[in-house]
Amino acid sequence: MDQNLPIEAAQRGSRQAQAVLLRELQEPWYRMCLGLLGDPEKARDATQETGLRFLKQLARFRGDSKLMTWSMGIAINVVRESRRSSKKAITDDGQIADGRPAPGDSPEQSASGREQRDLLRTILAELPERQREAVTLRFFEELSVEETAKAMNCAEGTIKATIHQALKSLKTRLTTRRPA
Amino acid sequence: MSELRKQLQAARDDYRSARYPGDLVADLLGKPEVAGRIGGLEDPEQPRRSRWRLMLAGITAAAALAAAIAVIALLHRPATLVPGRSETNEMAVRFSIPAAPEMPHGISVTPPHVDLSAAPARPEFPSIFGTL
Repeated sequence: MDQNLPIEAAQRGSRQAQAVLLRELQEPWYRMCLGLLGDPEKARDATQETGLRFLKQLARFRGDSKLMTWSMGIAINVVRESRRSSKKAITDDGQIADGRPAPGDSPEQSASGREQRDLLRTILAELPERQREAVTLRFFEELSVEETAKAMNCAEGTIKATIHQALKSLKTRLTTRRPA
Repeated sequence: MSELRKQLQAARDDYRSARYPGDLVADLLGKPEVAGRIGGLEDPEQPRRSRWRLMLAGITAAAALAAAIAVIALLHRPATLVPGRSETNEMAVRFSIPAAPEMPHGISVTPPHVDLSAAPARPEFPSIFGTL
């Protein structure tokens, strides 16, 4: 992706190039913010904040990693700050405060499929923050272990261990709470 | 494929279907107050325009200074100038060559005559043998 992006022009201040980068990255940022915050409004605010910080810090990007990976690190920090400022992502009854229209919510979608998806989403939301971040980046954004480690600013070994713990926890919870 | 992997794949498809509601570019770059918040965000033409503005300001300042100096010089010019006579003529050199000094009168410049033919007697030196 990075090869085709006008990164240097954007770093020099070209608004046109910056617009290209923002359009390329807005979806991954929003998806991740929504996946981790669970609220479309907060996810939108977090995406905008990520965009602002991205433009401010872009001159410091040295190309040690992919632009996407680097920008995901910014988004992760924004999400963490957002979660710290308000711990309302999960409602009192343990359900995700998620009002987004899931594409599977169409009438033809089977009820069991919806239930399963909702169950996984609920279980994911119950995971510790770090595990959710790692699972989101590794499995949903399909970043490599190395890229996930860079985005989360930690060692690859830590990511492997975190993901192992997360998968183990998900498996256990899915087995015990699968709807009859 | 394990049950968990299937679940994760379904969750990924769901996750990836989310779309940003709007246009982030318009949300960020379209608002002047937001653009102002972004420190490094500048129009690439801005430095060139600033340079030209700076040069223009410099030229204007230099011209104003030159005009001020010219006005001051005009105001401080001597007011009593004789028409048709330039200031250069007024400053013409006014000096005269002093008279040459006069030589003294009645003084002989030649020495008196002395006869050098008669040499004086040689002085006598005491003899050491005579004194012993």
